[in-house]
Amino acid sequence: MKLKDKKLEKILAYKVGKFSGEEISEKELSSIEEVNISNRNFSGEDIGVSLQELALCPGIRNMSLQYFTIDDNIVDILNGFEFLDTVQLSSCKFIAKKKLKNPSIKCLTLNCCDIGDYDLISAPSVLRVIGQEDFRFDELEGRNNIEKLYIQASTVKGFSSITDCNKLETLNLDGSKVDDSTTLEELKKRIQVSQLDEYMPMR
Amino acid sequence: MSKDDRVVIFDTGIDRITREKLTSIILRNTTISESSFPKLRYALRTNPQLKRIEVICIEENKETLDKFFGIFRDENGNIAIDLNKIVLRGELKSLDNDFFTLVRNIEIEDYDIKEWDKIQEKFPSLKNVIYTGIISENDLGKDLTKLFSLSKYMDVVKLDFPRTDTSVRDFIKENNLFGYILSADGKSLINLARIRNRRIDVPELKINLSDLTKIKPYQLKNTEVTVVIDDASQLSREKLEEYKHQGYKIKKIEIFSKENNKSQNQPYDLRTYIQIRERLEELVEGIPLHISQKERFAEVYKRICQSIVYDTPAVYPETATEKQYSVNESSNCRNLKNGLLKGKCVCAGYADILRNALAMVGIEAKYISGDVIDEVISAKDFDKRKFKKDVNFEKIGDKVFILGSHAWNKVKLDDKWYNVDVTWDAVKVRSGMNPTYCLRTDEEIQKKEKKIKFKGPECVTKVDREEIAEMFNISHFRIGKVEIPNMRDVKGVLRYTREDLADFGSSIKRKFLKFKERMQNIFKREKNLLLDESDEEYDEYYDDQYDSDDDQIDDTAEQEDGTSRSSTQENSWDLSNWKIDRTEFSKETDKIARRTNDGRRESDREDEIK
Repeated sequence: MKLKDKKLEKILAYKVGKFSGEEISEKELSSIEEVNISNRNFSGEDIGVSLQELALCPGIRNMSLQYFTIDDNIVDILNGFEFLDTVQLSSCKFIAKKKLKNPSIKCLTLNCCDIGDYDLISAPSVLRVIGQEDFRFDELEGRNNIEKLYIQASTVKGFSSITDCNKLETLNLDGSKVDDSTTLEELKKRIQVSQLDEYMPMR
Repeated sequence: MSKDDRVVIFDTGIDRITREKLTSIILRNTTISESSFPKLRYALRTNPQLKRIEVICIEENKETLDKFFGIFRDENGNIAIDLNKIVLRGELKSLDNDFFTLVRNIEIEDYDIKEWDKIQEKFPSLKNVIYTGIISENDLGKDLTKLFSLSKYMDVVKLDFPRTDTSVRDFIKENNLFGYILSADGKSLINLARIRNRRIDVPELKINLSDLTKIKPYQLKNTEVTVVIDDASQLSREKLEEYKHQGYKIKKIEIFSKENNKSQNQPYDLRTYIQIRERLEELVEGIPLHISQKERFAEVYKRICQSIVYDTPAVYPETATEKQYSVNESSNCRNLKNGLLKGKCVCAGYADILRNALAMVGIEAKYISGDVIDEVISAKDFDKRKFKKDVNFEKIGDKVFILGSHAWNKVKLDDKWYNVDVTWDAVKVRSGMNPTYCLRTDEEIQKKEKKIKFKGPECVTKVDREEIAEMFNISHFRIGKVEIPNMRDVKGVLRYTREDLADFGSSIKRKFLKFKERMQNIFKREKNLLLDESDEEYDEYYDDQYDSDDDQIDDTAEQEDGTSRSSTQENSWDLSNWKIDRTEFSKETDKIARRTNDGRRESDREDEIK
């Protein structure tokens, strides 16, 4: 079947092992479990991918988006996937008024995103926040769901509200600064906390 | 003719040769009685369909052996059968016979290979040697002359030399043995002169791209070829199409470098390689080759940082789905595939991508692997703490160094080598900051980045941070449209204020503090005014505040006792501690940047006049 958005079609064609231009069947689209889409080319220009037709891939479990403006439409799309388990958003700008809340999402990664209202994001059990200059932890909705929390290369505001996270097992703050060191010290007594000076991922 | 078609002939089975029109037989000198020799001699001479007569020689007295080989002669003692059909094997090392001087084909076993010299002497008419074993350095000795004397009689000699060992390749070059090529994986020594005359009969062949055209497609018959290249710049989709058109059956592409890890040296199927190559072309699109190496490098580095994210779940999986993902993608996140096709990978993938992308713009880089000291603890604490079983550590005295494996690159720019770590810089560059782990010496990465146990070309040339900032032209941080402090702009300010660059470093922090205080005061006092004023009015207001007070931006940030005056001074660079509204701050800094540019232009004009 042909998709209206040729850029999305090319990405999905790659995904099912076809070259751009080769037709993708409905069955092949349904079989897709992972999509990784960047709305920018390597030169940094927006390429204008529309995500509307992603609904043709209802089996998506793992989604990674880069350089998208997350508006209400995209939030609806993300909230609409029944099996969506892992979401990674990188360099995305949030302008949505609707809440990103899909109960099937278990892991959410926010990488260098521009987020105005953290209260429009519902935290899953695993949350990774990387390169967020002003991460308002106290605004984050559903933070009591968090079991594993990675806040790396970021600055955190409202850190004291981490006391709400009753289920928290692991905290990684590599390369991050928090605005409440007392709470952090208290936390270190209770759970495993990593806080290296720099965020230097390995392996 | 397969091995299964061969029929072993005993005394009672000689009639089968004629009756069943056998094409391939095996004769063993000890299992055919002397009385059957005349019958066998007749059968061999009257059955032209016989294509292969395999003779297994077992030790016997000379007289009996002479009589046995008499089956290939006529009544007058002349050879009565095509010698090309006879393949001799068995205890060749210990036996001897006049017939051996005529034998053209022999099959040797592992235990014969070490005595290759003697065997060669014994069979002066030799044309073909069949040897299915693998030859290692121990078999024929370190002098490769023996290996090549054997390979004269074989299409392909299977080798078991270390892949990175260049001794065979060097021997070919030094001795001008142009009739030979060593397959790219170092596992087959190919006798080109032989296979040019007849089609090669190997199911798979791994060959360097530069050697591919030495063998014609028809000579390769149905051989599936894996082409080995040094980096992706060497083989485009168009070139692959061309080879396909010529008749080569290229199935896989392997990008091999001796520094690479297993995941990277693993061959890609053709489709994946083409996709990877297309993405690499997109990555370097628009980067002109006439600009300097450093400029080209900076652009590629920046693009990788801004397009590919670190794939945390692949290394630190937390849920069942992530654990499965981590297992499935373990290899692909460490080579070119995931980084280029999915936009996410781990350090090994980043380093592989950078190496290949730089090759596309004519810059040499190497993949480097090593360890990073993650933590240093006492031996006592190490025993107390429950580390995972696979933790990488080293005990030195009473200290334990917890290590993490890591990969990065060494890059050659203007004939000098530098360490660069695109993985660690990715978040910084994506956030608009200058890279920190870029263009470093070996000493710097050992001391500052705690990297150890790495090899590669020596990196000794220091590059100052200003030069890197200029190369990348990325601001230290970005607020709104304003980038502060872009080194180009900073230099502009200094030219305007007539300050020395060396003094600037020591005074900039004080100026920052002063500036911060001012900004806080302005926002505190004039917040309502700022929000209501039009830009024009605001400009006037701003100018009134700042136009003539350059002199005031001085050393007032220090207290009388010389200590720092602000408790937050340590974090004064960190804007999150300024307690200033970001939008308003952005407006303010926009204006400062405009003033800086105006200053620079004015200063330029003054310079021109001078």
